Amino acid sequence: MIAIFALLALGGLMHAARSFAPGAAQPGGTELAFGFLLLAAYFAGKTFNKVGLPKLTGYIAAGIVAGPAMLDLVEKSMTVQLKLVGGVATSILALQAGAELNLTSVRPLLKVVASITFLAIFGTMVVLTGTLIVLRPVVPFLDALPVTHAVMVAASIGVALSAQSPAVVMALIAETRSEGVLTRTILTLVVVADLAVIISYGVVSSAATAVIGGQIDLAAAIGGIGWEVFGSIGVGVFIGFMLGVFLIYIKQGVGLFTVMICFVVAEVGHAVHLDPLIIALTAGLYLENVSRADARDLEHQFEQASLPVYLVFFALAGAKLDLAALAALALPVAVIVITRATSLFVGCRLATRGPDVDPVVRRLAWLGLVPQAGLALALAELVRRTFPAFGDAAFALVVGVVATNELIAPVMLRIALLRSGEAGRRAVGDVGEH
Amino acid sequence: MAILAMVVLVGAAIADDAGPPTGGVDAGAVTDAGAVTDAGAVTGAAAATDAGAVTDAGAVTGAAAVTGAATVTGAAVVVSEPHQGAAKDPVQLPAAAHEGKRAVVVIKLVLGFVVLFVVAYVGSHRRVVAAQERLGIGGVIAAGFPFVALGVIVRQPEIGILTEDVVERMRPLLQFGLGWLGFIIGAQLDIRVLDRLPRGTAYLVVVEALAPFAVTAAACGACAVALGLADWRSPEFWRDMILLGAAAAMTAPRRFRGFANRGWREGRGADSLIAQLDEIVGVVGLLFVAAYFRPGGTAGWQIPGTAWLFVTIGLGVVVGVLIFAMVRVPTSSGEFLAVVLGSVALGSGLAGYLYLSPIVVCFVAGALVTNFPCEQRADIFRILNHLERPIHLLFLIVAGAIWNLTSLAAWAIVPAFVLARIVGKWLGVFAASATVGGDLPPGFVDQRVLVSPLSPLSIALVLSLHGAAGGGASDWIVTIVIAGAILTEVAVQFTSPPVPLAATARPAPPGTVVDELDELDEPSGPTYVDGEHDDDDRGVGLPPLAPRPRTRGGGA
Repeated sequence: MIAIFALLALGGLMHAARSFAPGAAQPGGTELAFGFLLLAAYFAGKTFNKVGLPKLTGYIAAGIVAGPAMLDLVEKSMTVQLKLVGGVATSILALQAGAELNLTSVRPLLKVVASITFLAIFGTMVVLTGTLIVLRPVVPFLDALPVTHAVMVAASIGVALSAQSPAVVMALIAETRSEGVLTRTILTLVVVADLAVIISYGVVSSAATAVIGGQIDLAAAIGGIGWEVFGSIGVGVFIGFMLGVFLIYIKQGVGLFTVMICFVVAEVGHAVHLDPLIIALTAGLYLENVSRADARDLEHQFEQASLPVYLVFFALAGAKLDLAALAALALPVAVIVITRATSLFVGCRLATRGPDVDPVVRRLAWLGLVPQAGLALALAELVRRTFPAFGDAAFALVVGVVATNELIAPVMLRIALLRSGEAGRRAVGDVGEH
Repeated sequence: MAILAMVVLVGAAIADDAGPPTGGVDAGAVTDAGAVTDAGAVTGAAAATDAGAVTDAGAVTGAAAVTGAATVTGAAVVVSEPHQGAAKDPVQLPAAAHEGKRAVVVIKLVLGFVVLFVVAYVGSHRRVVAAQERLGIGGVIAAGFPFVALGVIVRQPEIGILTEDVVERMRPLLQFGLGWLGFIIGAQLDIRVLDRLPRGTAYLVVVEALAPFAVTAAACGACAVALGLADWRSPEFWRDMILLGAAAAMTAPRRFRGFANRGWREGRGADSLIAQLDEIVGVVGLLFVAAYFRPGGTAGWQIPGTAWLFVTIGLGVVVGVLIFAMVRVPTSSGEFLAVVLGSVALGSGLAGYLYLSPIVVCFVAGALVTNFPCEQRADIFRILNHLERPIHLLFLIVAGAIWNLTSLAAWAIVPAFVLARIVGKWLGVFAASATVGGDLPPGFVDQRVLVSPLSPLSIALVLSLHGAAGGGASDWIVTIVIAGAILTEVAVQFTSPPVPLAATARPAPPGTVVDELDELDEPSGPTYVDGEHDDDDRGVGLPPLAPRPRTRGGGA
């Protein structure tokens, strides 16, 4: 009851404040948007949870309702500086994901993870590319291109559409406090898949721009990707080492310190073409698997500081969704969403045929690959900027697919985790409850 | 905690320094595109505009469009032929990466982390803490002076870390910090404690605050006019005088342990009580400044200044009621942090959005929350305490960064500020002693000192106007307040701590002391500590309160 009252009161307060200078950028807009989204997401999550839906869906729904697409309580100019929250949140999630991955315990899973990555992830890239080519007549911007160009653009979009979301998966694992073979498989899988998609997109988009633009410098291309991947790993190891030393020798304030480190990683990462996700992931892996420090100390202290970031992060994701664009592209979006899910399902089934694969993994692992959020949206933005002549239309298509998956997939994954019997196995406090 | 502020700085600075050169995007660059966050936030100018790849964070580290010859990383293409008219091209190719700069930035990043680590290690070492205690560096401004100096250093063009642009980008954080401080100060205004103070205390507080306010404002104003720093006919002059007076009126205990840990309670010295209550003068000063000195030419509601006073208070009440309701929902400390953080951000955001003072709005909200029956009060204070120091250090660094040291005329006024404040204090103590001294318990008047540290809120007060409500504070005001605060603390180190004469000369007879505060159902004010014992709790503390004449219920 208090949650609903709070949501109404917050909405009313926001509406009143916005009437002060509608449409104009105001000085306190960033803090206002931050505070409002944080509180609205928190109470929406509570409300959704009461009716059996994931809190995460509540966070996103709060953003959609408050965002420009619906009530316009949070307008675009108010969220510009909040982009940092996205970077920080992803760094935090990646750090936690890395700290969760004990290589010794996931080693038995690596074979199945490799199979799924190859058949489900790369397979889905191919299937989606083919689907887009088939859909060409109903996708105007593809239809307007010569066949060769259309194939290359479709391949770029296909890779972008095959992206997963470690953020959503981590948040749901934390929310349901899941622990078990399915949880570990999905977590490992989305992390590996994320790397695969990043590298694939670099290669495919390079090829696409080369085909369309005319020339390519292969050495520069490889150098760029190499810098991003290996440079990020190097910086990640260093940060992991520093965090480990901090945990051992200083201890005090490690939670806040780590959030600030994530802030620096997010800010600096994109500035120097390093991937904050890989940096933070490597740092987490180092902490868990190499450092003498106990990564659980970090997780415990991290828990408090990270929840506010998540709340704003997912609410912002909702606020950015353009429902009008989604409605305009309903047919191709629906086809792609279904095809993608089917491809992931089939790929996972094929990859998990062996007798040594846990039946729960065979049945449910594919659901961990369906959620999409930041990476796919970021790739959509790259598509838009790389192909300016039709980038807006391509962006709308990718965002439409991501929006649909963003809303539906967390519910499905939550059900999967509950059905697997792994939900609730982790002790309270082991990981932040979102 | 120091490292937290420093990490923020380094992060902002390095990002700013290494920031993707917007100029790196050649003709036809996509200027409205930006970094895409994981949330899909498309940002503006500060976004990555180079080539690169994408992270789940959504930081688009590259892939900006390029129309000239370009090397691409991540998205990885090099085009040797220029593409004019990029907007019409089917494909735009990313810009040249700045390979050399990358390495420099990464080296700076690594060195920055190492320095931060060393600072954190040294700063937290018990020997360093003990040495600091022995040297008497307890006041927040004296102890925090290195951070002010750090701000001065890193904003130098040769270093270029905390540039004006970076400070501008940190504005939301500063506003949030101001709201946080306002909330803490308000949350300590426990009416139940005030209601049981000895008769005459309110008068003592008002006189001790108003006398330095008036004397300092008058003296500094006269000096400023004489030195040509200000024109007494301009509204900004009067706004700055209010600010200077308010800054001078507020005091801090000799050993300041943070706002969240200095709530007055039985047994603590009158210094603590006065320091806590006279900050209300600063808050009231800001209330008037934000209401009556509004920035010109702004859009929005056009209502009289007096109406803005009520809007400010009303907003604080609404936010307070909302917080009061909302803090009942969280079930874990993480959730509690989220709600308190969101509430303060909402309060300060609303204030900033309406060109009001975040300190005042959140002060009202905090006072409301603490005075309603609320089981979560201790949790709220725990959270407030947790983030107070990083916020404070951040303020000190930013204060250093915006401090214009070259204004010689302002430096000339600094001694006048310090002296006028001492004179004002003397006048206040004299007036209080002459009028209500007999009514007050032993130690309330005779323990007063003339040289007391400035409250840390004074620096926040100046910062709160830096580009916000009422327009930015004049440069010379910043110099006077910061330098005056440091000079005052230096003077404090050379003066004796207050000795409660009454406690030694006229000890209260045993059995006659009644401490009404103990009758409260729950602890009055925040009584938790951060692991350090306040000096006011021992040695120099006042004897317990004398009984207050009963004026209610037909009492004598």
